[in-house]
Amino acid sequence: MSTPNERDEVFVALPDLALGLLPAAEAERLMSIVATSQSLQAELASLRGASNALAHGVPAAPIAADRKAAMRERLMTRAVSVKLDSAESTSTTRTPTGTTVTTPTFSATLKLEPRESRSTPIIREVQIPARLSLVQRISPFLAIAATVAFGLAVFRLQDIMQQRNDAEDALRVATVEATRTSAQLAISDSLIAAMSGANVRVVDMVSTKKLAPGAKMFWDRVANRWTMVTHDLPSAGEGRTYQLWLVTARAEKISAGTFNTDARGRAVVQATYVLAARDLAAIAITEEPTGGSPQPTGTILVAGAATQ
Amino acid sequence: MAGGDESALGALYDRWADAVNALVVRIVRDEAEAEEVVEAVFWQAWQQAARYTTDRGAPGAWLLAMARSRSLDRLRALRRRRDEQPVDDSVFDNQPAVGDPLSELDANERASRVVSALQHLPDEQREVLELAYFEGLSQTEIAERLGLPLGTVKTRARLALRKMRDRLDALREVEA
Repeated sequence: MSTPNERDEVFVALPDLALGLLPAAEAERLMSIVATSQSLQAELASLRGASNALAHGVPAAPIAADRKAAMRERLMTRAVSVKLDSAESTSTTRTPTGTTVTTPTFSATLKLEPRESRSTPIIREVQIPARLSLVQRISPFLAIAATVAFGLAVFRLQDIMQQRNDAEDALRVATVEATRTSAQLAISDSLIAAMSGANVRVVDMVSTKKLAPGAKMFWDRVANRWTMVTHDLPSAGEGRTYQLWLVTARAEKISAGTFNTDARGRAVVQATYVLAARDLAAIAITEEPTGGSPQPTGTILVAGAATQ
Repeated sequence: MAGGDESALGALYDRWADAVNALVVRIVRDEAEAEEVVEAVFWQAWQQAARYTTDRGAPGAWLLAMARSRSLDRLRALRRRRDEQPVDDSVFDNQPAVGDPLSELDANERASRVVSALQHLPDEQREVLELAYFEGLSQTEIAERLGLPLGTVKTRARLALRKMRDRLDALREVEA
């Protein structure tokens, strides 16, 4: 049991526990006291909720669409592969493999010898030496025939097992390919929908310099979906990233995420954000430190006015 | 997902990848490193799905808790690699003035509330809270980093989290 003084001391330190600020031994000591009081448990739970909520207050950083799709594909492929491996190992324990089949073959062959030697006393009992000598004569041939038959059966079984393994490999490859294709199709469908819907407004963004970089923003005003495609925009340098901004009529700059371009200067960025049609004044891209900035600090590289 | 349905992993990824990435980028501050961490977080979720229970919070909270833990591990490893050079905090001195786009409206509301609650904290309290949460520093490390007495750090952290909790509760009641 804990004393009121101990509970008071723990109550004061509960934020330290919720934030994970305490050394393990101290945290354990406090938790043992928390466990004795429902009010301390409730207070700790609500403080932990507040602490966890901090994760939702970070600036948006959507993953570039191509890298997001690639990561999804890797995860799905890995999950499917592990699942298939697991299923295979389970079935192996139930189904004899080539090795386990071979073992009884040899044991069966070896068992012929004691059976043969055991037949001698039995034959002596019934005393029919003529038939005995016949059996003795054909026994080696029977043994060879049985061994050959077993060998052929094992060979055939191994062949069947190999065919089964080949079929399983083909199925695994096909499943992975189907998953990949399905993921790519879903991304393509999503992009097509985001760029071609009846409610999509297009904002052309042009470079502020004479060079070629440019971008188009597709704004689905019903789904509140923003899809931006860049071209000829060189990759941001080491420790830098591009950041997309929605500029409102009141000159607020809203970050729509950070991104980088591929070797051909392309990037596809998607975000969902609710903004009334009349509130959008412009869209711009700046270069910022990695991780993005709360407000633009770099020069505007590409921009487009929402004049429509 | 606990039953080994990979499509559930895909759905979880589609729903939370950007939010997890935002948190990881905020902590690790290196997009290439962040991408590895994000992938590891979802793989961990897939592997540990059978052990997930609702008392660990909603799936999103569970995922973000894993993301924070893995990000702090990576951040500490990066610090060791960089000879303990402190990370430049100047980029994150101020929270954004308006909400940031997340993957859906609910997330927008959550982000907006959290940013609002943070903005109501005095700067010195918010600083301690962010060092604790986003950098995983202990009270002693924060005191050393800021050149403050340990007692001051404790007081600021405790006040900050309680005020933040109260502010979030108040916003929730206003919405209700």
